[in-house]
Amino acid sequence: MDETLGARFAEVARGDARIYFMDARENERVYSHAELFERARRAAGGLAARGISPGDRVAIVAGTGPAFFDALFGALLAGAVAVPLYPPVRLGRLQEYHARTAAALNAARVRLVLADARARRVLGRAIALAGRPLACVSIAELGAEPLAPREVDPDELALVQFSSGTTHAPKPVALSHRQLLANVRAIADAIFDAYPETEAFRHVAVSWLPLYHDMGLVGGVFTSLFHGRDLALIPPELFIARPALWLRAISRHRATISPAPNFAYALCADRIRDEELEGVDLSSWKVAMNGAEPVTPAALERFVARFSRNGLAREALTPVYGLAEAALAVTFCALREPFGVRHFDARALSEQRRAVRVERGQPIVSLGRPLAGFAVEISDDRGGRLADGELGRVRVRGPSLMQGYDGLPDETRRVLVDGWLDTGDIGFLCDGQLHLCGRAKDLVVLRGRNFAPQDFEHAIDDLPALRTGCSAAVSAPAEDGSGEELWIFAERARGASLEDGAFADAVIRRVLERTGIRAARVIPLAPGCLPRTSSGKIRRAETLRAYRSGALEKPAAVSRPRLALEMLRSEWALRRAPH
Amino acid sequence: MSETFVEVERILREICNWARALQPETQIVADLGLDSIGQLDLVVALENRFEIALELDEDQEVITIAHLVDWIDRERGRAGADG
Repeated sequence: MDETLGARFAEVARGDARIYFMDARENERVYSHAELFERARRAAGGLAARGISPGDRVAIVAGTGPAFFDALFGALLAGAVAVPLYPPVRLGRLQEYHARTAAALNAARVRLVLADARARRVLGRAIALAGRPLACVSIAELGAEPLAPREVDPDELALVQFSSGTTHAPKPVALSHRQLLANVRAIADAIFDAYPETEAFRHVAVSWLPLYHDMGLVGGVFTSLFHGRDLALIPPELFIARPALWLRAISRHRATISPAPNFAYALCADRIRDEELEGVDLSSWKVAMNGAEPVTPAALERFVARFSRNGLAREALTPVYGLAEAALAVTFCALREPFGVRHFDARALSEQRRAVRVERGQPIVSLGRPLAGFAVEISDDRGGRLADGELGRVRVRGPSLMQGYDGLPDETRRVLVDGWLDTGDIGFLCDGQLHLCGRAKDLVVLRGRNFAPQDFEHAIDDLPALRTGCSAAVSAPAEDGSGEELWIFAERARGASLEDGAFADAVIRRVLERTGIRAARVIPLAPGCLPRTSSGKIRRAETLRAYRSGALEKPAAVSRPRLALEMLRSEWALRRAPH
Repeated sequence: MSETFVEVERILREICNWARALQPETQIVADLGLDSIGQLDLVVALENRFEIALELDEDQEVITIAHLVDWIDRERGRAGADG
């Protein structure tokens, strides 16, 4: 199919589907696709009038609302590349937000920023910091004569998506029209095949996911929009403040589809009160995707236990796997079947890198099989294919793999090899189904969001109690099974005498101030304890592994000269290693 | 203590599960340990309670409870003037 996102939108705009936008009072404003398309044409006209040409990068900083659609589709209809960015933090200080935004604007070579009213107030500093010729325009002021949609080749870029909002080495994932639509089609085909529509039954989706996030945009919006189906959207901050809004919307709209990251299922089970769900009927909900972060058995079970009394079917819960570098989805669990949790021998997993099934052991949720047109392989470090039951690097292939990391050919070459994408995740196949159990890439995933570890490590770098450049941030499973949490390993400065509790407090406080994330665990280490490569780079995954097997507490059985050498090596690394 | 401060204190206690007294100099993030999710919770709760939209300005920093109270009073004043 030789289509673009704009052409697809034009087509569905001839139908009668709608998007509902919820506000803080749970009122919904409804816009038809036709109306949104007309608005987008005007926005495109406004962009063209401001000199935006096909291929230009247009950043969008807006919350969930019609303005986001005006900006996104305005850009696409003008033949430009849309670059959705994180909206400003709501509280605290904007310094880090300015730095992150500036870094993203530069990485994606943005030409123009479209902002809603809230973002417009604070973007000046970020744009000045970026130091490139950039204008910022209010979306509300764009409107002009509607533009006749510009012709674009489906293999041209449609979207640049940041897989994590970071100041340090942001990675812009570049996706073409064809790649995005291939993923949208694969998701929709899976759902429509399992639950075919009838006279009486049409799919309806609800989503509270942020629109600047791949699951929210590709899964939440594009899947419904490009198939001309009704969609109800809830701003993410409203869901966080009142999780019941999500389930109430599903009931009210008789929604069949709604995605969310794992933490949201646990959050709902824990926080929603019965009185908030009076009259709420979840029996229409056929597909509750759970992805964007490690899926835990506890979150799934707690959600089912709590909400089956509201008509929720166990089969609705659908663990999925994907990543921005593949547009979104790669594997889905069988839709009409209950999710599967298998137990594996923990020692065989960690020591022999083999998955051995046992009655009671380490429970791992199955993430299902590849969607039609996709393939998943487990490989060793040299790219050799491993057999079922062997642990290795997860590689994927399919029609929605990214064009590459925009402007970063070396980084791209590292992960896209011979048509396979090295996901950086560690897992195995069991009965042909994907199971994850770790990560080779240095990525911190919290509540469905990706973070670069450097953002946390740099936040604490100038604390006097720590050795500069000697910390490692990782995400590790929380004990209650609700998901992953942030752990920080940090070497004490020589001569520093802060006791463990005060040390941890200082680290937690500083990280919270700078990043808004509360570390769940801080592990102070003696100088020289963090494992490093021969060139002095800290090995984060190895740090976590060693800690969990008890090997990290002291530089074990290291003689004095050896310790001195380790410390010299890390001092040298500090001077040389880029951060 | 102003009415705004009393309300803010009440809402913060609920969100942070905080038992001790709150001072104007108390830092919302550093002292109360409010992470990004808690901050969203707080802003939405305040917007609902005071029926205003809380918009940060360019170089504004809302670090302490005093900052928060000032911010709310300013927005309420603005809303009152338009209303």
